[in-house]
Amino acid sequence: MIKDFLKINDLSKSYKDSHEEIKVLKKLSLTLSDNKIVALLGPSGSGKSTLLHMLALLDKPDSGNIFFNQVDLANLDDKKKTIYRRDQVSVVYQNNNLISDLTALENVAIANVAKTEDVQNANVLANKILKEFGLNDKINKYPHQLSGGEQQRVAIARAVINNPKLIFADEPTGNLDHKNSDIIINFLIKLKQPGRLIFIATHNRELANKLDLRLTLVNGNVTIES
Amino acid sequence: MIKASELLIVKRYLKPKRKEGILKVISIFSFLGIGLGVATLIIVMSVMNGFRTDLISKLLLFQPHILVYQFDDYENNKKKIKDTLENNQIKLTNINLSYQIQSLIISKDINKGSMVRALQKENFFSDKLISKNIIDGDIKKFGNNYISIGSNLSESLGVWVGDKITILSTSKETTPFGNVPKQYTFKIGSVFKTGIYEFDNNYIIIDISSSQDFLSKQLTNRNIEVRLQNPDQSNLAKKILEKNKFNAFSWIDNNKTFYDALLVERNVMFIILTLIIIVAAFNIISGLTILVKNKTKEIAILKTIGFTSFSINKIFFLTGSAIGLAGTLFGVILGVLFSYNIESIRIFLSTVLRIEIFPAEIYFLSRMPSEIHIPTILFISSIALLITFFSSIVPSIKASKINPIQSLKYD
Repeated sequence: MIKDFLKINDLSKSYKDSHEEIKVLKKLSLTLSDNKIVALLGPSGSGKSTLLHMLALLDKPDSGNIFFNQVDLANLDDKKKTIYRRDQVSVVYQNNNLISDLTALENVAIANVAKTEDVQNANVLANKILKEFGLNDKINKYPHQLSGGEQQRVAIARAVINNPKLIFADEPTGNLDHKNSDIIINFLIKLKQPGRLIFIATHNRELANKLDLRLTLVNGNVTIES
Repeated sequence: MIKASELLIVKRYLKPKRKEGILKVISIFSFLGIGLGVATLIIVMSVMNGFRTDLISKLLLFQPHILVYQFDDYENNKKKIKDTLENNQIKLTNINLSYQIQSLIISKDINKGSMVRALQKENFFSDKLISKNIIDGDIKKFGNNYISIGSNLSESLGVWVGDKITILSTSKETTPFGNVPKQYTFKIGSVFKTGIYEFDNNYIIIDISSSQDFLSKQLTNRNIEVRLQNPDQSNLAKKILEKNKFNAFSWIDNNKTFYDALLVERNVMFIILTLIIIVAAFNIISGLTILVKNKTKEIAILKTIGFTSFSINKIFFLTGSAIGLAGTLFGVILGVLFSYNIESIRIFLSTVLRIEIFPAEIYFLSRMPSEIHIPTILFISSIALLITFFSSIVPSIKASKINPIQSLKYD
């Protein structure tokens, strides 16, 4: 187990509204080890997505540092940030995760093609993962031909194809019914492994209780509950 | 270099498997717009090239390509000119001696100022403009006091084959009454009608060898006429001859206004028709802008899975450029096919529409001229490609600057 797999130091982020400055995160500090699946809880606007975006290097903090495997991510140049996003991180959103012009197979393979530039191998890999996700009869379907649950499963399949060390799921079951939510969460739970940390942002307390850790964001700070 | 991941997305944007409505229509219109613009440009340029070649070849039937004047010994200079030009890789088809003399012609009733052109017999017989256009008399009746006369001139002088005419020379002879111009009488052997007004209306052709007495005082009007395999090399040939101390002028100097007018007309037409391609390229800009707007969320996803901004830029640039490239290729094929078959198309359209397109009596051309120049096609294609490449740049940069967070947040 790597104790300080992900370490956040005094992370702050604010947005400027037309009238006032909204402080979303206030000097947030946190250290997490690998092989965990973490629930990120909090009311709407509490900064769950903002935190995930900063951890995925899609957004910049106003101040503070993020260390991944003891490397300060703030020191990475643009090229290394892209490589970090491509090789170490995967993000699953609430909806619209897929590229409408690509089939389910291509949607999964594209993440690996971006990394290896080997379409043939990526297709073989994507085919295998989609089978594991129970989508072997949907590989040639386009996103609009899939149900919401199937689309999320394809998105998760794409999230794991590059074997990332960090998976950020931003309310992945927000648009799904209870049955499909359970399926998706079970798939995410199965992805837990040493050398990997999974975040799931959710409003669903029942779902959060199934996970290893619960982080609650309130007033820009975090409380941890094992 | 294009990466496999970028190519995969470009292919799908160009040939979406699912129905993409307006985007598909815009892509097709952009493709057709560029294609038709390029085809129009090629067709018009080919017709103008053909028209120019036709006009110039008619003009050059009557005029030498290079005229060398003020020289002493003909044979010596002829050899020198030939060697000089051939050493500079300029090929000659003919070189001959001629005289061009302004004279007064006296017939039974009428006097008229005209041009007397003196040629060597063999050059007269081999001159296609004359030999193919004898309308009365016998071409072989040339020399030994026989001359050939333009049809309009013979009509205005009221003389026909077999009649006599008198040419008044500028040289003088002394008589008890003072100095008077020398007179020479010739017999009309043939009448030519070339269709070139200036030639038919003003010219008399006499034989050099049998008119030595008349020509001996005309050394200042003596020329060496040079014809080249490629008339477009005339100015180059003239410069080379001038460097070698010859006095020369080319057919281009002689017809500068006409030549410049053709060139200006051609360039202006090119610029005007290039505007068609520019207008068509706006379709690419609007098509790509709509594509970028529709794909904002997907661009954000691509960025989150590791596509760089440069890759996104390349994807949209390649999409626009591919439409431009395909349109240009289509235009080149259409333009070349149309230009090659323009006469058949003209006949077909004339038959179907029952109107005479490009009537011969107005344009003095028996068929629609068309000449395809490969360098012109390459130039047109390059311009079209450049325009489409430039059109693709702005939307591509816009796509690459999309902020994934903003796009996903406000989706």
